[in-house]
Amino acid sequence: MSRGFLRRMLPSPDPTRSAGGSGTAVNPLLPSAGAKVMAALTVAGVVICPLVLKDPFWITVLGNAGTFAVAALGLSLLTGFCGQVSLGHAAFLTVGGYLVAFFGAGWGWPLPAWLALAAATGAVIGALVGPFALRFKGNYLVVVTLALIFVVTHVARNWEGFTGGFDGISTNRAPLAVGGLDFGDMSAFGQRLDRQQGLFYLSWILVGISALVVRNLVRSRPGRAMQAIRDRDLAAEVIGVSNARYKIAAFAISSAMASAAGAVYAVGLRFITPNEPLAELFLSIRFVAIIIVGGMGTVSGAIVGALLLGPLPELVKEFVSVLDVTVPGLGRPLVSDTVASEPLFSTSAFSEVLFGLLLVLALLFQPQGIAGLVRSLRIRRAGARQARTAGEGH
Amino acid sequence: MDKFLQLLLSGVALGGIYALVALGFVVIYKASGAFNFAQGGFVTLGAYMVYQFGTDWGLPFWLALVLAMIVMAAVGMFLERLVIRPMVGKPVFTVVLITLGLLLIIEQVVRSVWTMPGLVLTTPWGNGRSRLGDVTLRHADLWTMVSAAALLAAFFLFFRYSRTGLGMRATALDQEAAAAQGISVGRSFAVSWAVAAAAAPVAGVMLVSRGGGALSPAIGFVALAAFPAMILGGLDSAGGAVLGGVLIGLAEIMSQGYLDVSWLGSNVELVVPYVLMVLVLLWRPEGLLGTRRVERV
Amino acid sequence: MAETTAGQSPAGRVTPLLRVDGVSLSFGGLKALDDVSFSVRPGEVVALIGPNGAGKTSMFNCISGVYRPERGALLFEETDLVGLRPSRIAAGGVARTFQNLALFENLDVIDNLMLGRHTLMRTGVLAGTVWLGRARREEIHHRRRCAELVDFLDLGGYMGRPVGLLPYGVQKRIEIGRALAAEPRLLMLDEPVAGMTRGERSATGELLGTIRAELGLTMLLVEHHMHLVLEVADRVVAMNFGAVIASGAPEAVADHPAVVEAYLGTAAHGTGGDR
Repeated sequence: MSRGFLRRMLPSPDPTRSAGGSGTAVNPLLPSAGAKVMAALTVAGVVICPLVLKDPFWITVLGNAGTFAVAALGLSLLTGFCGQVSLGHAAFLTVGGYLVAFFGAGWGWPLPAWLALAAATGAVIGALVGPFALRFKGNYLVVVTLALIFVVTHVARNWEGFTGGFDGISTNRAPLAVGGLDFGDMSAFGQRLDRQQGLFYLSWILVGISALVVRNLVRSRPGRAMQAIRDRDLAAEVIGVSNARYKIAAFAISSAMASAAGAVYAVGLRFITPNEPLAELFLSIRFVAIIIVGGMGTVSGAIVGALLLGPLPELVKEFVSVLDVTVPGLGRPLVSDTVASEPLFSTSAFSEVLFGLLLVLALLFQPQGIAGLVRSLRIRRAGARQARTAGEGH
Repeated sequence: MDKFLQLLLSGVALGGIYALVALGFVVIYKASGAFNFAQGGFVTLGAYMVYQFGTDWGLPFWLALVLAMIVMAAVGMFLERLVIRPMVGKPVFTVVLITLGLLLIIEQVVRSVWTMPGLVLTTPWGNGRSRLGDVTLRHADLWTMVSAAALLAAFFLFFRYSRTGLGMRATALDQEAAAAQGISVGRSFAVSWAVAAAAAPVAGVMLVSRGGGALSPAIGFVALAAFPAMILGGLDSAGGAVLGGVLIGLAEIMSQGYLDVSWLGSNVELVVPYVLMVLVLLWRPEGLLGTRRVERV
Repeated sequence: MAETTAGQSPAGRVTPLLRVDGVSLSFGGLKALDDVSFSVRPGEVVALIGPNGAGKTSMFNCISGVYRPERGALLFEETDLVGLRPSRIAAGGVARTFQNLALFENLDVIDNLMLGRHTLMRTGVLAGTVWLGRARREEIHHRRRCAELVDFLDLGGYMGRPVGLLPYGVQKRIEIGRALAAEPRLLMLDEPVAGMTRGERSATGELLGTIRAELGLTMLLVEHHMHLVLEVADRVVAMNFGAVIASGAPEAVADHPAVVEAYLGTAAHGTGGDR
């Protein structure tokens, strides 16, 4: 038993002992060698991707996966780390989309300005939702956050001067330059890159920043406080963690990320129109599916989930021919885009079903998601190695 | 004044529909403490089943309705067994997320089974109306109110007097303690899902006939407005669900009728339930008729 | 409302660290606390005893701000705690453990202890996102202190795993550690040895003795095991049905007819069993 701690707490200062070094000095940014390798590979992959992938389809799909990852990281912070389930996430993406359309494409604000505005607006609205999370927990909060979807879709349809109403509004002319670097018309390694390739870089740079922000938060005081609230909110409050402060902070940061992601996503789409509230709800559920399948409460899980699930609708559409098989007994094709062939599902319907199925199956069989799967495999392997060395010892 | 009475009647009838949907939520909430987002899907599915059995196959309407209720009860029990039962003991929000997944799937399944657009559900009352003085009473509205009242009475009796109903209340309070008392948690779950799903076709039929009988896979959308109804009334109270439903229905219809403020935009009534819910919750977090809970460390 | 100052404070004019003054609390007509008064002087170890449902944990919850008493005052030094948010009370130097463990079960030992030090740290949300500079230095400094606490509590063998997976006795110890990590001026322990084996009980008793001897920490504990109470407490306050029925020196209170009666009346927890 070390008395170091006691001596420190006593009035007389302790002259001798230093830390009871159990390897706990710092919580590193990348906790394991595997994480370091994965991070390096991801960075390399992101840099190389637009240079080798010439197919605009894949560049667009992977770029969109990046924006989804940014928003998913936000939801992961809120739900995975702070334990607050929200179905309003899609509403923040919508807000970001309209902001870039109005101020970026409309008024010609430069990229840093419209991106910062989107993030700041998201943060402010998120911070306004935060206090509701103090009074309403679990089920209640899920429904209260639904209210966001209704309010935002209502505003999107009716505030015509700002959103273009039902006709929508173009985002196409939003400036994409930061200083001398223009994501809309850039060149790298001697190659000229088009707008989609530039947007790919922009979204993945944002993924990097968001991942850094979330990871830094969760390994320091504020993020630890959020996790304490997730595990036991009342006990956290009693030991000194203000639920109010950290729930509001989690909502603000998460919404800022969603709103920034929504802005970049909308630029990629070139046009934004108001969603049906139901479609907006489904989009929110999609983000929930992404973080569950990827693995809640991990940074890598949100990115992996976004890469796998984010592009699902585009992939189903692209590879519809593979799924255009006749279902035995019914005589109808499983998925097709030609209505005349009476498919069981249209491509968009099929991707909704896939999201639903993946969400349910993940919760039933792998609630820790892919990140949890990897972790348990690693633990098992380490256990086997330990057993082996122990066996050799005898 | 006539306008007011007319709107009042219409609002109460719409509230009846919300109440019918909300009652389904309340049953499952009472048993498991979770919101069933798939209830809206059940409502859609139930309405299409009544169409299939009655309008399409030609069974008498009431027989078709009863048949749809039985089939939906089976669907509810099946889904409970398949995806909800394995989650007993897991955090409640995972169950909520599963029901969200079900909602995504059910709506698309309905679209893929009934591909023909413009299907119309026929009811014995059709578009009939009667005049009471200066007020027009639509028969569909009347039936809605009658069935909401009947279901409420049935729920009340069930939870107050039946063994299963009492068991479900115990399960919702404390799953472990209920199990220790010999109450089967699984049975409570199964019954609650069966009951909620069986109530769905009734809500579906009323909803569709209110709109003149036109079916659409998106009608389950109304369930999203029934959530505020349930929360407003108090989650664990069947009476609260009806009260909340009527309040939301009234608010919606009255805002349609009187809130003609152009700056608020069109279709304000879609937002009204949620705004009303948030306001009431800020004032009374447990809802109007709900029970206040004491938090424990 | 402060007319019921207890007459049984023998020591002279020491300002109490905590003064509970006429506190009453009820849940829907049911009286949980009825005009409870007692005080804890600096450096003193006071035990709250009484049968189940006597109101001991309700008393704890009032002090830490979870419940708000309807009447009475809770003076911690000069501040009335009534109406303050729990996190404010914790920041003021009151730390506690819970009757049924309340650890953050998905976090590891160090993170749980670091959360104990939450009120001693300063890094805000924005600084946390950047992490470099002061946030990093603060993190390193406080982790070092937690590592010492790990050694002191002999928790070195349980690092890096979610504490929810650790044995019960270890979790109890971590919870005491989390409260100690806050370097509190008042440490409140709610049944620190409940559910423990005999061996774990005596180890915990020893631990409390060490904390008391070396830190001079003021403690208020709720405990059923009279053996432990007699071992560590300077003074005992006995409660039944939400009211104080006796207080004073441990042996005197244990033999007080009202206390004996209260325990025999409920029979579930014998006082004599552990003596």
